[in-house]
Amino acid sequence: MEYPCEISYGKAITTLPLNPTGLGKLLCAGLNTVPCFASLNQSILNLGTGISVKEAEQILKILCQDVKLSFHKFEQLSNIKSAMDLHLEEQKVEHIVTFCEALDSMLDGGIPLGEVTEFCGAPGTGKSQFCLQLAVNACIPKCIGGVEGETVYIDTEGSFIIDRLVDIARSAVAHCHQVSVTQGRHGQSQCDLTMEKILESIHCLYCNGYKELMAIILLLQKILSQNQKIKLVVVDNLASLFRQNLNDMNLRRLLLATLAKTLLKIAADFNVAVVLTNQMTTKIIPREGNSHLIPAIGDTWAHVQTNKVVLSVDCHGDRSALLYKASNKKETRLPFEINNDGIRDFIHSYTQVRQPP
Amino acid sequence: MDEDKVSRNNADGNSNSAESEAYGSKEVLFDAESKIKAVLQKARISDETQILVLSDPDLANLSGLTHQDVQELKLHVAKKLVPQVPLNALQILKDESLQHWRLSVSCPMIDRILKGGILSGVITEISGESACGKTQLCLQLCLSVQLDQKHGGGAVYICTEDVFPSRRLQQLIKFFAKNKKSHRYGDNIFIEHVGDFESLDVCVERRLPTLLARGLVKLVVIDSVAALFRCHYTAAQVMERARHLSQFASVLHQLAKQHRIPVVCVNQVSASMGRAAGPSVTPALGLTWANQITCRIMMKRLSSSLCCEDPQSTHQKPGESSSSLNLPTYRVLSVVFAPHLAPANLKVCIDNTGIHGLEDI
Repeated sequence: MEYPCEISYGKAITTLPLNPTGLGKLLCAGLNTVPCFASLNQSILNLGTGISVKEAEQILKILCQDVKLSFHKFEQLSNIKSAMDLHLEEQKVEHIVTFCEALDSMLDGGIPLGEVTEFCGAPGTGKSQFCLQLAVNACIPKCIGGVEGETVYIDTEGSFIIDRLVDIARSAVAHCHQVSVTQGRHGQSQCDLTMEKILESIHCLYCNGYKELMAIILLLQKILSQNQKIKLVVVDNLASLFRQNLNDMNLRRLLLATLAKTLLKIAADFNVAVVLTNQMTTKIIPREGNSHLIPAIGDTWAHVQTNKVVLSVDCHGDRSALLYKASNKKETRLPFEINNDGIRDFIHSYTQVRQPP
Repeated sequence: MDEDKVSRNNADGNSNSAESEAYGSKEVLFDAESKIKAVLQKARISDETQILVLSDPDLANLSGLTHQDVQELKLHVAKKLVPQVPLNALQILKDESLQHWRLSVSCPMIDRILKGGILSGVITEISGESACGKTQLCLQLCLSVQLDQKHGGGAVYICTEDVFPSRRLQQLIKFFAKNKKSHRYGDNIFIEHVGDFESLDVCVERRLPTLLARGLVKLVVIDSVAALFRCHYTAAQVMERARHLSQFASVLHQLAKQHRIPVVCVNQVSASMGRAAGPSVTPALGLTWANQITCRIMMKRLSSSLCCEDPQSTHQKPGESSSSLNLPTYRVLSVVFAPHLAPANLKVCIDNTGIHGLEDI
């Protein structure tokens, strides 16, 4: 008799549908849990307990069924994966490109799906631009390496400007067609990306105040489970809500923790990329008397995101992105540029700025 | 477990209420309203939305509900609070009432670098040293908002620094009167002098909402924000100042959003020391304030040496000949940041007809 007894170890036989007399005899013989039967067959059972061979056969059949059932359940409940499985899975993770090649390669191919990425920076460093660019890029068709998904864009401070989105989308369409032409065999564009398609794929929600954000995040699970195409959730700007009108620090911590938990869950459950923006704040070091900039809304929040990119502009107007936190990459700083087309690589001799028609 | 799922699905199919259509949610399986009432009573809170900020265990304790029911309860409140259905960008593009409108500055050059003008629904900051033309720009906005047929209306001008320059306004009105003759420009500008925080708070939090609710006012100018906030707090009260500033800004933000109007805040500058290169002055009030605004425009007076070189190259616009007596001082208007604008610099001059753009720098 072979069955994986370790699964239902310790399970009392009194819980099984056995007839009372048989059960009494088994208990008298000291066989009170399922694993006790592991190496027994009906003749041994007959000799040891005085149960007839036929009855013993029936008892063992019931036991066997029970074990099989629990084994089945056990298999269903636990999806235990080995590190190798995870490694293979990790290589399959899709990314949303940023159109800044240097940044993409820094992030192993772009903003990963299933993770939370945060962009922080002082005002005017390009946080909203990244959000708009990513919302557009989430729509890039699979045939040229995109994720072909849709976006939920949660705007908290009115920085979702449709004209700017149209500018970025227009350039992205042109860019994708160009890529598709060079990739295609017949010199023809295979991708059917249009401006309308991009705009239709971006779903906007406006939000005033932190309570509304909490409500939207709760409802987000419903939206995502209905629309499987959504691959990106953007919250621009997360910090401003929690820095206005919320003076109770304990409440803020609680809300942020709840929010963090929900967002991480959403990212993992629905395999979407979650992109948040955060402000910067000044941290004063009392002893030295000087100060430096750190991402806002506290240390609790700092633990949440998987990837954190800090954006900055120096006094000459040159922009740079610093990979501040990522579990498997080292801290790097690289330049990027924002022009009429959106986020692009920084090129030193970049002089020509294309005007949208 | 499977049976449970099936019954839920059935409930899904039967639900027809508009609310559940919006999010396609499953029908609330229990009487949410009465539960909400019970929770509110127990927790001694009056605001329903407060349920959203209570933690799950707290809520379970208060209501005696299971974990799953607590989630259901929160969802119910969430749906009531956010009845909106997500709109896609194409719908927004097609429907102008969902977009931000732009308040023209009444100068084609400046409008060009601002892509149409000052954005509605957000806070725009105009900063610069003293006498660089901030107030001039604001006055012009107050008049130009009255010219806008579609979105325009009156303006509210809140002064905190010095007296309202009404003589200059009258001068500008004379010029603007050419555009729209019978219009009484002065009657549509509401001026408020504010000398301290108490009156500022009263003005912004009580009087302004009432005035805006009547729908006549389409522009709010605060000249300047820095004056009060800079002198009222000492260096040791940085935290307090930050809190007050962000609260003040959030009120303005709400008003701008709710009434879909542009809010313009004038800011002073402070010298930035210790930096070898870069601008010698930065807008005052620091990062706290900068985080609150959406667009930042900076103005600067060009140094006098440049003024002496340039008068020959002045190209005058037709109909401006009367201004040739007083040689204009050149100023630079620059877009520092805005979500929809590229950084740009424009040379401008101010004459008795207003502020005009000359050329890109």
